[in-house]
Amino acid sequence: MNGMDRREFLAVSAGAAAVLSLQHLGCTTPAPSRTPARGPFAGEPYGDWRDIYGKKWSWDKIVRGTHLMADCIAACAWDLYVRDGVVVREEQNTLYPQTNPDLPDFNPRGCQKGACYSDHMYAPSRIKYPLKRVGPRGSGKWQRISWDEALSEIADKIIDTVNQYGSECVVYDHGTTQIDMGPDTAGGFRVFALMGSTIIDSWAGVGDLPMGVIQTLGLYNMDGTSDDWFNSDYIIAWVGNPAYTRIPEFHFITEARYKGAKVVHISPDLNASAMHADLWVNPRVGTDAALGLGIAHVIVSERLYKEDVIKEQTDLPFLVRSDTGRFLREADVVEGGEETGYYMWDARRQRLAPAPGVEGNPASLGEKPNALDVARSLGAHHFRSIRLRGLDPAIEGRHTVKLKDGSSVEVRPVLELLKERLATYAPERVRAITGVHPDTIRQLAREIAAAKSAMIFMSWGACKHYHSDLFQRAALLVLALTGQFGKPGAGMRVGAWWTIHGFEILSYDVAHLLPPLLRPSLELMAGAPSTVRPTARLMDDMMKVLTRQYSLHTPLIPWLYTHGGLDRTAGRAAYGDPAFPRSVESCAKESMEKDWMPVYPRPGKDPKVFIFSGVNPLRRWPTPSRIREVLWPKLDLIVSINPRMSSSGLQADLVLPAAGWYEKTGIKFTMSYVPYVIAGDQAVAPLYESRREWDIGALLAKRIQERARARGVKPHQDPLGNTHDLNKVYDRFTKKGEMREGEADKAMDYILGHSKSVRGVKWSELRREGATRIKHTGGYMLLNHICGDYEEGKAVYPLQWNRVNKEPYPTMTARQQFYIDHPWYLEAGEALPTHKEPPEAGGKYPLRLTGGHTRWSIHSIQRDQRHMLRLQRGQPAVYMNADDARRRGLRDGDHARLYNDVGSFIAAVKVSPSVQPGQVVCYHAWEPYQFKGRSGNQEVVASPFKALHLAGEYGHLYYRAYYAAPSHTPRGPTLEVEKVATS
Amino acid sequence: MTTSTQEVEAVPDVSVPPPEPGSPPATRSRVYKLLALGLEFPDPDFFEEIQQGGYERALGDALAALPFVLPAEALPAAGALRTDAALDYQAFESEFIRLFEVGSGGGGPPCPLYAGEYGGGRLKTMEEALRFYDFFGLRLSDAEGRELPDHATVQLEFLHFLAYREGAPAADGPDPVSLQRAEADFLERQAARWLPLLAKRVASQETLPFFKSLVRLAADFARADLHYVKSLLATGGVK
Repeated sequence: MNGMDRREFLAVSAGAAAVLSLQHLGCTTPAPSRTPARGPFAGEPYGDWRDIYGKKWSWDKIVRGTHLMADCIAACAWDLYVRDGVVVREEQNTLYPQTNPDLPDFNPRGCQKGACYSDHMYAPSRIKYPLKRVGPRGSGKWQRISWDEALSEIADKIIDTVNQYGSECVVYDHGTTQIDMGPDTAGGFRVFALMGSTIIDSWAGVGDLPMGVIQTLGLYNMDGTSDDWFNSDYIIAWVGNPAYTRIPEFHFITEARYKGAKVVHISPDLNASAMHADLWVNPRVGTDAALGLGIAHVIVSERLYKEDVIKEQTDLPFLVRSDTGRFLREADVVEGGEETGYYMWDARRQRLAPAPGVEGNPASLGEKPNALDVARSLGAHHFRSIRLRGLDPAIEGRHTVKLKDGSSVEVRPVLELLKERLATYAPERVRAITGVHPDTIRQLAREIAAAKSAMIFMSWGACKHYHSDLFQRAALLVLALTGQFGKPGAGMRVGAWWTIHGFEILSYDVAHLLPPLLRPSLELMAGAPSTVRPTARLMDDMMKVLTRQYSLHTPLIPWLYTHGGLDRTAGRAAYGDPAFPRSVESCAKESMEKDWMPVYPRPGKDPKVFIFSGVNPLRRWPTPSRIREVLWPKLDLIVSINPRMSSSGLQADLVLPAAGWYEKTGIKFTMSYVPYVIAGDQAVAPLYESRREWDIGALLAKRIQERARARGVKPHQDPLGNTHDLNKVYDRFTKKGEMREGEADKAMDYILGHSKSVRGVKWSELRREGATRIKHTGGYMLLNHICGDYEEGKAVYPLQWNRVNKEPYPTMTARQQFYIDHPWYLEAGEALPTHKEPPEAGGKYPLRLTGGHTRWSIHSIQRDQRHMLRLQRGQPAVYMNADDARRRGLRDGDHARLYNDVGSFIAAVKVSPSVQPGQVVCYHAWEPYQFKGRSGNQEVVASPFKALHLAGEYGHLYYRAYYAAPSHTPRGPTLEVEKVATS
Repeated sequence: MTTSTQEVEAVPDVSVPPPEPGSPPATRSRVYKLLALGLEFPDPDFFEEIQQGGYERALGDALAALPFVLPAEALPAAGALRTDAALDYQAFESEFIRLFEVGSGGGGPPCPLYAGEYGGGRLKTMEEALRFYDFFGLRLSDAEGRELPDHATVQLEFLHFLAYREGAPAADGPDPVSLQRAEADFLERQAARWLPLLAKRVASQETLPFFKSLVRLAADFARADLHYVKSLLATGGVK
């Protein structure tokens, strides 16, 4: 008697017939085959427990799997061993063949976090069924509800909000914590993009945006394959800790070192990567720009620079007016001349020469261009080149030029100005700033200049300080001066992706809003061969059109500044740059009024519905307690979609259980380190009542469409004037039934079929094989600025198109641009790279909090994983220098309160001689609930942002999705530490 | 790539004649099932049974018929296994979720109902439970929302099954001593090992007396039953 309900069972009295009632066991094999193959029911007696281990190394199946939505840089292939619907272990797969005998191969890939996911997926923090809050937010009182109830509640609230306030008041945040490039990530974006909702852009919001690289190169997602590191003979890891954060790639550094490469590590603390270096340089926290400029000083003063390279590839020959500090423009010299024409000084002919290849300001396409506009622009851009064609620009000297009004003005090449700037960064002075010995600075300069191929590994951690942009500009200057870019084994490496174009267009499906042929023209351009390839600038312009005119992308930090109370900390003058006369408030006002920086809902209107998938905002955003105080009360509905209960889920109104990585199919993040797309097959069914995100998106779209039709909802316009129709949202989501809930694999085929990088691969084949080799970089797109070609068997390196093919950079000057003559930059003294002391963001306290991504977790996903906790302190901990700790009466293992004017948190102290005096290290992503009082390390983070980053419509400085925007700055706040009693 | 290295095995025939009503195996089997039912996610109907005393009565009757005597401190006080009349279903459900399923502070519930959370390694514990089930021709149900193999309800249900079959007189069925040996091993290695740890955790919580009493009873019963089965096996098994 199986499946008896509880009441029925109770009804059978103890004295009546005995009853067997199985709910959880049995029932898989129907009659008549009732005889088990082994065991007591097959005549094999049970002796003792050893009998059950008789077939120890057998499984129901072995599945090709991976860790799909981990947002880790690695794409690692694993074998998953499944027994009775349970993944009981996993093992690294070695399916990457060697394709070049001169390069190390990619085997094996994986790390300890992946190796214990089979344990983590069954953690008790998994959410089993939809939950609805029944007490106050954060009270921990929940009610179990059905998916049907949850979807109806969300759908009705969205419809109400759209009707009453506008679709932009529904806000979707996918963050970065749980992201891949398969249908599950696309499904979330898709449903909200189709409704005209606000979509949070968290790139700068997580502090991963290398703004200084954008300022200099007009792009930033530039890297190559990690086997190209082996081609380097001088590897600098600068503000990065690849032994922690690039575990599957780190062997390429080690192998290059075995081959003879010198490895230099630059970081304040002696971290796990520094111990593997030949030279460790430890500047004071936040002084890396000064170190870079000190190196540049030596290179310039000793004339170690590559003159031919800087003349062609950089703006150093561009002429700047001495009177205004602005570039000399054609409009200054010629009646009716362009604002976007710039000059060099022709040394041979001793006269002005227009700089070749310049593309000027963006928006040459107009706000909403059609395909014909694109074609015209393609023609105009295509033949541009930065090749000098016999021009020999002067890089030194002063010249007088006659302006169109007849007056004369002195002009100088940027290098002249740079020399003046660098004169203040002699190694002896830099020592006073950084603490680095002048001999070391000179040694670095000479070795970088002499290297065959020098590269700088720079992590996203190098973007999280207030003045990170200045550091990046200085580091790029060193590489530019020495010609260390655009060749194998050289250049700055920030990270890049192979373009999975199908993923992008499935996520942001705005085709129905676009003029005919506009999107196909973009797709054609993305994959075009070099003979007809559009310039990066034109591609950027197209992406700007698509993400600014047809979707409501909103950069997180300005959004929090407007809606989340960030103005209370980031707006404090004391936390900003004293050298910049404008306030953050005035810059924000101007930027938003001029629509340089889009914020939806616009100031004056509140967000009402906030749905986040995977992301953990109250762990990551600055000062979470302030977010709860300011933003949370504005929201009528907060929904968390996540496999596990996060700190943010605890503060939500509805929590929906998402399937774990082994419970669905998909493809991994396609970072360019590894030239494969890695697939994960489904090993087991989604646990409990969880559903994969594609299905959640489809079901939500379906319910919204049903409810909208039942309620007679009319089409609506978003703030950009695009019309959306909730009555058709499911039809659009499914492409008129092509890919419904339960049909994520069809969406996967759509993604693959629209991605040139994996040309011709079918999902059925990919899931079987577990990986497919890249066929093409996929073209210059949102996440791919490699500017290099893929050739099977060869390592890929960035900026090949520019250095080798002489294609323009997507900057205002079409070159690596070290001089920015935007008025705000001039006012701030940042027209050229410089060093500025980090602000005292937190108040006047003697210590600075730094951090880094941890070895033991990808963001907060594995932060409470039991095996990972055993490898560290098992609880939130900060690392302190022994002298700093002693002065405060702290011993290893003590607990301390870390505080400043913004907030405080309590953590255990690890006393470590590897930490620099004045520095406190708290590694990344502890969950607030792991701290006493649920007050996490972000509580002391004021996160002031540079007002300069709000500037827009200056050449390459403008906002589009995942591009130039103010950053979260969690590293470097000032604070003090005091001992507290351990409870 | 998916490779199959093991054929799906058949489930045992459960339509064999039942054990003699009131016999020791039948009673023990029933207690295990009743305990499992108490730890299932509560639905409104079952909550009504609890509130009206039906569950307490059924369990009390079964306990009274056991072939061994539970220690006095193990027996729930009168009324402990029913809930206050003023308590509504939503409060009961919410407390079940807080205590066993979600918690209120992050990192999972304070008292998860999974054996592997109480030592022995989660995967190792789950895999061993699966091996026990498999050896006796059982697999986890394929129903949506199925539980994991080390969940209290699954483990108690397995013991319910073993005890039932121990008392089922099937001519071609397994030797009852095999089943008793398996009961002793499964209790020793799994249920009787961790249920007392669960009970200790629940006891430390501010929660409803119902949950404290029920979990305490489950732990004490598992230990007492282990002692009982071992005593039978010490004399050759089966009585």
